[in-house]
Amino acid sequence: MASILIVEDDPYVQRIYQRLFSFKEYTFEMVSNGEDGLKKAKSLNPSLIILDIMMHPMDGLTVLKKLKEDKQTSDIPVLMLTNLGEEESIKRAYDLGAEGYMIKSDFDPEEVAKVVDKYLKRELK
Amino acid sequence: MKFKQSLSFKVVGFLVIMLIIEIPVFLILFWRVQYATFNRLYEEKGFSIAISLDSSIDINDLKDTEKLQNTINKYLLLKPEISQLDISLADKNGNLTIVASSDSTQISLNPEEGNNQVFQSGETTSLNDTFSGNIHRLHVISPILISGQIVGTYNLHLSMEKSIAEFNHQMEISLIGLIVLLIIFLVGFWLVFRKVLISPIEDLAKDVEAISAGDLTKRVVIKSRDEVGRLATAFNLASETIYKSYQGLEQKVKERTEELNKSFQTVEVQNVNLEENRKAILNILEDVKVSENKFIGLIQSSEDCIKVLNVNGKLLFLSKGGMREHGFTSQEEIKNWDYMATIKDEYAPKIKEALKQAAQGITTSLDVEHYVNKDIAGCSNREWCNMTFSLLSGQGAELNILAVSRDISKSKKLEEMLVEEKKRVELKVVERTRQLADEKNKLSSSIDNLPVGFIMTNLEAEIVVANTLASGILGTKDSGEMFTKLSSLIKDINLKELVKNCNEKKEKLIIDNIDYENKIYKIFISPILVGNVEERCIGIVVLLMDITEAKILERSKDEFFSIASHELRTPLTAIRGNSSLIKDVYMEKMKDPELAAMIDDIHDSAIRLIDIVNDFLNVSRLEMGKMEFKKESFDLVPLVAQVISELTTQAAQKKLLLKLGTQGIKTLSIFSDKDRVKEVLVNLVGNSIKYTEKGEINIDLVPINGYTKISVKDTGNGIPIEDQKLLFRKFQQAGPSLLTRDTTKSTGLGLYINKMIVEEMGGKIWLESSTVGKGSVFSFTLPVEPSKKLSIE
Repeated sequence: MASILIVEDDPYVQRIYQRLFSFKEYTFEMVSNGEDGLKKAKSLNPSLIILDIMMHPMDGLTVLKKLKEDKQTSDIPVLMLTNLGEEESIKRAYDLGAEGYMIKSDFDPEEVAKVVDKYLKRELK
Repeated sequence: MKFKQSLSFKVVGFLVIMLIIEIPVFLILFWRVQYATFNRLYEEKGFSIAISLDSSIDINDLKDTEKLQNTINKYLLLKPEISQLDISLADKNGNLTIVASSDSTQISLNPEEGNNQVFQSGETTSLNDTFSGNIHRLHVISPILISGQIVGTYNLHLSMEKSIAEFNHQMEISLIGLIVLLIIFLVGFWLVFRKVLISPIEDLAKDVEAISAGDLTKRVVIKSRDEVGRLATAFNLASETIYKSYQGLEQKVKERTEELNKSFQTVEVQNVNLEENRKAILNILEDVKVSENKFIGLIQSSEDCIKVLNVNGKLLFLSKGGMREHGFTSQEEIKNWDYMATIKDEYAPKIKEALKQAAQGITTSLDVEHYVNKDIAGCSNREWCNMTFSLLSGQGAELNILAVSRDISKSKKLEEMLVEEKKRVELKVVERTRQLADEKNKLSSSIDNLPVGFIMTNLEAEIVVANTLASGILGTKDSGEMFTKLSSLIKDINLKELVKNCNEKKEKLIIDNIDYENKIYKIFISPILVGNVEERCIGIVVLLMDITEAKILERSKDEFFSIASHELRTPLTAIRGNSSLIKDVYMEKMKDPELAAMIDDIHDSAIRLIDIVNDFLNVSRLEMGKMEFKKESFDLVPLVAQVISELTTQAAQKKLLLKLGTQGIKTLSIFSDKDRVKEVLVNLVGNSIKYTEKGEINIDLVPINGYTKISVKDTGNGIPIEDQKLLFRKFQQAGPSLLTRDTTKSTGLGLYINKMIVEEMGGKIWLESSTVGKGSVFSFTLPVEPSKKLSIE
């Protein structure tokens, strides 16, 4: 089953994506820290991971690195969630193997839905 | 020896004199003693007689003169010592008269003086006869006491003549005996003396006289062991010694005489030699005289100025050269010439001294100044001469002194000029030094007041200059220590190597972010180069900048940045996201159009807020140089196409046409940051759409000279000229006042951000043209290839 794993510690942002995904009737799981994210990635084996860069205690890039190091999870596409002014982090994320990124404050439900669909459908195929 | 000189005479004479003096003295003394004894004896006698007289006469008897007389006569018979007895009585007035006396002639006379005394005093007294001058008479005067009253006196005349006569007779006998004895004594003494002392001495004297007469072998006969014998022995020894030394002396004299004879012979030989030498010297002197004459001849003919003077400076000879110098034409003219007068006064004593020295054989040389007058004969035609004075010949008053003179007028002038020059140079040097000191002080002051640590080293990597701040930073004033600390500060670079290679590399160096003792420094190192044509390195300059504060500021700005952006964006995201969701997802469920409108407003506001925050953050980042630019070569054409496609919808909403104006360009490569270029383009096109009501927006691409110009042309409202200068500034929309800003449209930061981005990428952005009512053209350029920028400015 195509599912999305969202790793985000900000409750506001969590709720936005939750609402959107609920409306769109996607299957998704929400975790609020990196540790849980890694565990869930292994157990859920989602089609897409949406990963926030700025997290605590383990930051998004570390999580990304660990995801890509683990054979079980290395194939799962990862989209980074970022805020403006984090170009350096984005560059590093690409280097670590991220698929792409989304700017939180530019959240447009339609746009987000389009992108997510792409990955879900890919998975299905 | 005469008797008068002998010892005997002396001794005897002495004794005789002694006797002559002493005997009379003795006699006189002895006589006086006896006399006194006699006096005393008779005195006592007289006292006892007076007492008995007194007891035998009573008051009644006194009146009876006959009785008195009888008494007197009785006593006279009884006592033969009494030569006369007087009884005196006092009358009513106290005057004494003799009432009875053994000498009838005395009756009724006044008694002698002594009586009155006794009458007054009442004491029995004895007196030597002073009245008649008879010394052998003693008076004993006693008072007559009747019932306690003194009525008169008894006067006893006692005669000592007999006794004295007897005494004298005895004395005579004794005296004769004494004299005889003395004579015997004297003779005896003399004989003994003679034998014991005089004779031995005479013998000794005779013998010694014989020795002294020349017979050194004679010895004295020693006759006794007393002092004389000792003397005789001593004499013998002495003569023995004398004899021996005499013999020794004789020997020496012999030797000496032999030596003298030899010397005498030698001297004779020497005398002969001397005589020969004398003759030789005389020959030489003759030769000398001849040479002298030749020499004088030479001097006279010489072209140099040579003078022969006597010790007082009088000229004796003058050479031909000298004649020329002093303007003489013949020898006659110089006869009465006073040479010394041509010399300037201060030099005359020096010349006199030199002449004296020369007279003693010492050659001296001195510079002399003359009075110059070329026309007068006798004056010199040279101002300054160096003259050498030396002894030529002669003796005493006839000394000839040679004076050779050399013209040094020129060199003297040069000397003076040199001194002048030297003074001037010295002044200049002083001035220069002062100027240099001023410059140095200015420099030192400036260096010391620099707000950075300033250190200069030489090629040996020794620190030669260090300002106060540098010492403070490195914590030491010692240059050796400073260098060590500096080297440890710049860990990666070997300062010594750097200094050594300075000449080759001539590179400047900046090292940033050095942590040292809780501060952060930035270090600039530059070689010190001198020389115009060929630059040569003489050391390095090291500047130590304390950037701790700046870094702290930066970091706190950064922190503020992160915190602010994070804090602002999260709630904004929530607002925008949720309002978006509401619109998209729940809009169908909302029946109330008013609600929908409100949600729209919330959504739009959120977006605007986010834009504003982004703009602020971008501006800050650009101004701080925090924005990163990923420069690469890429094709501009597809990027433009992408922008057009993204904004077409927006343009279409206002029925505006958006297209690529320039035809025929398929590909155009530029070197820049792709995302940023897109940003700028989007912003410019967005502005055009905003301010255009109808018509079209064209994007033109024009390559110019290593750059590509991108122009956005619109048919919009245009911008009035007075507002055009406000473009590209922070917060200024083209409007005259802050209040007329159209806040609905944008933050006003768009063009400012564009400008910063374009300039950061090496291009320019400007309003190419604008006409109110017709439209505007905004253009910006970008480099085609990467430019060579210096790593250090």
